[in-house]
Amino acid sequence: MDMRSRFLVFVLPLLACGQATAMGLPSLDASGIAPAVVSAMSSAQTVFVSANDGAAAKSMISRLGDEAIRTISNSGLDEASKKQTFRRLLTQNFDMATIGRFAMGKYWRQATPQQQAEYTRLYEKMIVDVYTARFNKYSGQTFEVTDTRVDESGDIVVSSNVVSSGSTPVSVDWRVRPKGGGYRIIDVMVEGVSMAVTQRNDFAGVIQQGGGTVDALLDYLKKGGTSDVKK
Amino acid sequence: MPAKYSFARMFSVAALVGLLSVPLAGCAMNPKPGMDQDETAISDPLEPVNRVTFAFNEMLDAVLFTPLTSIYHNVVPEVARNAVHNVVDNLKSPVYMANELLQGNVKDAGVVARRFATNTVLGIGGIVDVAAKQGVKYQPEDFGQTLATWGVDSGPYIVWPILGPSSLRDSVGFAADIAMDPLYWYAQNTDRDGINQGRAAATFIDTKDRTLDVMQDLRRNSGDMYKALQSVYVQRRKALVNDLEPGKQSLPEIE
Repeated sequence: MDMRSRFLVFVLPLLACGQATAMGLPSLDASGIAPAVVSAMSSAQTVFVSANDGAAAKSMISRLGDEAIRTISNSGLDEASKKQTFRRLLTQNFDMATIGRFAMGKYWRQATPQQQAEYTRLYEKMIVDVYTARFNKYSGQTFEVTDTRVDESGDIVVSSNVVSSGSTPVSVDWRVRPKGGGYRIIDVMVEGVSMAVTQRNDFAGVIQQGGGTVDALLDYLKKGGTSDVKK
Repeated sequence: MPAKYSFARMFSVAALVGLLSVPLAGCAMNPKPGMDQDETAISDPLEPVNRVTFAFNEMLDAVLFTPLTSIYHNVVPEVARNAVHNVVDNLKSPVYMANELLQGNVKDAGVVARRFATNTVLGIGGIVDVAAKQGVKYQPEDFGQTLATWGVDSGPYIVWPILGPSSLRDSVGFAADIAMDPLYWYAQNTDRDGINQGRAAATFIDTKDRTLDVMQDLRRNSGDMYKALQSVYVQRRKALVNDLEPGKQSLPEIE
């Protein structure tokens, strides 16, 4: 089965059971089905990913890993300029807007445009802080890209191993999406655990524990979002 | 104690496990997808009780287990810590093998057997993981995963005191793995309780040591540690059931 028919097989039953809005597609009445299927087909076109894409995504992840390790091990750089480089690497390579929206889940649509804008800004800051702290824990691990595959979602999954001496390698999968002629990371999966999903479940907990409002999440992120913030 | 008695006991535990597994097949972790259903949401009917147990466990970790684990990590040299890990892992080989066979993986059962023989003999009673050094990779199978491959759903998420995150299915699996462990019954039936206690303590401290960094990272970087840990547990178990094979499980839909 080629990509397009696989996509349609996947999408049509969902349209039929009224999940169109949940998928971000326009909601349908009977007369709207035909145009929607056409638009589903044309968006299915974009999921064709060539072997070229795989190779390009792979070299993007290799470069990112190499540059991150080079930055950490560069003793000539002070903390501030290291953080500056990490910020550039992260914002250039991660699709922060998409990850952030996913992490907020159903609450994204409940947020006002102002809340969405503030959230996006705070989320990006948090990711930079979290990953800078993680990078700074670096202690000589090596990073090697092992494999790439095209997922049925149309995204490219670049597999890598982070190897520290004396312990078993940790598998890290990078989910990469072709975007605007380039590629952006939309999820990192460590030993089968998606960071985006973990964050989404965590954020839902913050909101539910904080009284069910988006402001609870914004308050948490305003406090930095990277230390033990408990209610 | 006569051998007949031990067999009767083993049988009764196995029967109990079997009985418990049947109703499990009926309950699903996630409700049927409907309007506005979040595919990543984890249904958690026991959440109020679980949160209390979780808070208790976090308190125990903070005042007792994390300091103990740090002492263990800093005082015991890496070679010895690896030896502890390898020995407790090697002793579980019969359980791994039984689960491979119950899942119909004859080839992997053979891998376990070879690994057990190599590590017990060349690795001096399992102290050294010689098989790993020879390039034999092995991902342990437990009875929770076996039940999953038989189509049993995970059932509700459960946080146990001290032991931490589990599910109904994985709790049954945990008990079944003990019930099918020959060394456990040997120690029981010969009144060598010290063997089981020592083994449980070694397994516990080794697990705490190996998960400490991840737990601390999660505590620092989560707003609701209860939900974050639950998410990691559920995802990790799902990945293990799929044997971490790329493409075997569909990725979350990220719009």
